[in-house]
Amino acid sequence: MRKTTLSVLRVTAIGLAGALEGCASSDGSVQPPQLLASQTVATLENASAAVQAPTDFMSLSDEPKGTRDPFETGNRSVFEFNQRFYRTTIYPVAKAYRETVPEPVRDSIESFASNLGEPLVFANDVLQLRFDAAATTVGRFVMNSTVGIGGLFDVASKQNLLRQSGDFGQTLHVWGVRDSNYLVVPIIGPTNTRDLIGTTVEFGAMIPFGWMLPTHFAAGARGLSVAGPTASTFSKLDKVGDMETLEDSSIDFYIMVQSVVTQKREAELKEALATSGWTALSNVKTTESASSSPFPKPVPVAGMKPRPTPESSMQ
Amino acid sequence: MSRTLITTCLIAAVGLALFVSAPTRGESADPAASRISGLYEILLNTMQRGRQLGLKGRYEKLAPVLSKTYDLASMARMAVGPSWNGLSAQQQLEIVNAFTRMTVATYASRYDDFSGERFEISQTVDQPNGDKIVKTRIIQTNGKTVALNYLMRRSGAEWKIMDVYLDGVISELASRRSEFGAILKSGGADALVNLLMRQGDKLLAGRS
Repeated sequence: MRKTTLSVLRVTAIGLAGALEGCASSDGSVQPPQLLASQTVATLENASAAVQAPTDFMSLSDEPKGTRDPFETGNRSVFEFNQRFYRTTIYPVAKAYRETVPEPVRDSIESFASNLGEPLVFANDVLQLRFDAAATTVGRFVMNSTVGIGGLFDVASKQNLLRQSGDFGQTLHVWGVRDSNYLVVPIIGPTNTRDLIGTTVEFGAMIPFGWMLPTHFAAGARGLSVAGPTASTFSKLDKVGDMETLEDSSIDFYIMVQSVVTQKREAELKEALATSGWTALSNVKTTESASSSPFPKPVPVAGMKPRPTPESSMQ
Repeated sequence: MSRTLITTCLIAAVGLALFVSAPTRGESADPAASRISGLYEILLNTMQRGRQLGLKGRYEKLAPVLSKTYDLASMARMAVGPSWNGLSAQQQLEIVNAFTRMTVATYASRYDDFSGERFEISQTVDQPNGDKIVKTRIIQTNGKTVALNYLMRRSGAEWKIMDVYLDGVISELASRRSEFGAILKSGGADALVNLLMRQGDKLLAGRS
């Protein structure tokens, strides 16, 4: 009994450390204004080619297409609360963590926690019929667990097996839940209604797998640092730069954060939709509609009117 | 101007461009990419002398290059949107000035120290409408990188930045548009100018 408690504690510590790692900032090196996140120069970088350029301000709609935020008043209060909470509690702890724990160790902890989450990524990729992503995830898991010594070293990335996206909120999007309302959750941070359901489902789905306790906690840690991965950007905000500086360069910080996390999440969702087998299947069924073009639609940037789609291959 | 002087200047310019960026496939020849190289070179320089210059010094050093490289007037106009036409010329000018000031102040505030960062220009992608996207990376000493892409548009004879994409997907212009939209709706152009000025003040009053 005592052994189980101990191992639970150990795993919890790892999970928490993993989540903290998400919050820990780097050595405070200088960054451009509003510099936010992501240490992964990953597949999302390729999406930049599809990002819409504003052609002319006259063609922009008056109401920025932007984020649906019917709960704005409540969200703003929670946001303020979260900011105070982060400043007083999370950031100092993350800072101490960053300063006392050497970087290679922090990297290993993050790799370990991330590796534990790969089975969930795999499951979601399969549900989305993204078999390339699923295969890559399997490759990563095997390589990092063996050569990478139980996931402590992300050797797979060096072999060009990059971390794939794959969470249940994304799956729901691929399955058809397209629009969602912005939501700021206490402590966890920004997400949206669909992604919150996604995270909860994942957490719940792991409960029967009590024997897979490490993965369960990884899911929990993922939920904390991911929470409908919108929050991952948010927590990583402090990873590379100063949240304070982002705030300094914002005239409405709430909106700035909302815009940033929404854009990042939208890109992830579009990428999943574009590479999903469900999209390909629905293209085979439909014959002429331009909206069923197998080419990924240009990613509409919040506020920008999307361009007409490129010529469909189905003429 | 003597031929020797011109030649020397050309060699120096090319040398500088090569030094600052790691161009592949002759990207340093691309005019849009060279503009970004030039910007990065001055940023690096500012960072290295950050403490020496102080906040005010950095602001003064960065203001000209930022105004030249960024098309801040167009960005401000785009961020406001179609209601721009309904504003008086005075209001429009105030918004552009306040936005410019805040942008430069943000840079001056951030680029205060050098910790071994490297800027790398990886690629220039032509867009169908004639714009270019210059893809760059900031490489920190720990090896971790951050992607920054610049949307460049020809403005007369020069290429200027119209938008910046963090991670390749987060558009600064889109964020600004969301911000401005919310404020314009609740308080109008004057509220926007006030907020921009206040933010600029806060940044310029900050730590040196």
